[in-house]
Amino acid sequence: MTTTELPRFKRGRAPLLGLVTLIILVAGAMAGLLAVPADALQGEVQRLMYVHVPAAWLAMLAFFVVFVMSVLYLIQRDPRWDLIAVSSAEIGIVFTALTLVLGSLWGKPTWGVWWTWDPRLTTTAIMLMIYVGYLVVRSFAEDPEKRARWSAIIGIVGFVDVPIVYLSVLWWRTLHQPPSSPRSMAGEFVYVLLLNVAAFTFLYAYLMVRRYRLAVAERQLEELRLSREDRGGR
Amino acid sequence: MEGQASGTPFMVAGYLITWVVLVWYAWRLERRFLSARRVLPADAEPPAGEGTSENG
Repeated sequence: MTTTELPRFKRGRAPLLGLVTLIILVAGAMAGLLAVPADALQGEVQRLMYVHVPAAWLAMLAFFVVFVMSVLYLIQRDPRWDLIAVSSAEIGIVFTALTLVLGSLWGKPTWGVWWTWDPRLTTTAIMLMIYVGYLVVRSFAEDPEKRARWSAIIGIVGFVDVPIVYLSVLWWRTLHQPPSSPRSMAGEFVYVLLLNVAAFTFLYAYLMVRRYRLAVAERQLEELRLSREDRGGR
Repeated sequence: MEGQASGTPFMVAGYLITWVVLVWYAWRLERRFLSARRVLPADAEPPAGEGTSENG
C-alpha cells in the first residue's frame, strides 16, 4: 500500500475540533478551580483530581487504541493501523508521564512522599516504560513493515499491563485510593470530574488528528528516501 | 487549616505543569509537521491534517 492511499482529513475540521477542545478544557479547569468547594479533608490539593484522573483515563484509552490498532495491523497489514497506533502510543506516553507527575504532586502533601513503590504507582511506571520501549524499538527498525510488525506485537503484549494498572488498587493493599465512583464522591465533584474527563477525551481526539497527520507526512518522507536509495542502488 | 494551606502550591503547580505540557506538545506536533512538509517535494502531496479531502 502506498502513502497516497492513506486517508486525509477534510479542511477545517481540525481547527474546529481544537477550538471546541480548548473551550471545554477551559470550562473544566474553571469548574475544577472555582465552581466546586475544596475537599473537606484534603483541602485545595484535592483539585488535582480534575486533571490527574482524566490524564490517567486518557493514557489508558490511548493504549487501548494502540492495542486495537496493533491487532488490526497484524490481521490486515494496513499501514494506517500502524500509524494510528504509533500516534496513540506517543500521546499515551505524554499523559502517563503527566499522570505520574500530578500524582506525585498530590502524594507529597497527602502521603508525605513524592514517590513510593505502591502497586498502582509501580505498575503505572512500568506502563510508561513499556510504551517508551515501543517507540525505541520503532526507531531501531529501518524496514517499515518489520517496524510495524514488531511494534504491533509490543502493542498487544504490552497492553497486558494496562488492566493490571487499573485493578492494582483492588488486588493489593495500596496507599492509592480505589477507583473514584459516583458512590464515593459528592455529586458536584462527580459532575466536574466528568466534565474534565470529557475535555481530555476531546483533547485526545484533537491530538490524534494532529499526530496522525504528522505520522503520514513522516511516512511519505521515508518512502521518498527509500525510493531514492533504491534508485541510487541500481 | 495548616494542612490545607500547604497543599495549595502543589495544586497550582499541577495545573500549571498540565497546561504547559499540553500547549508544548501541541506546538511540537505543529512544528514537526511543518518541518516534515518543508522537506516533502511539492508533487508529494503532503497530508495536511485539514488538507486534501478524500481518501486517495
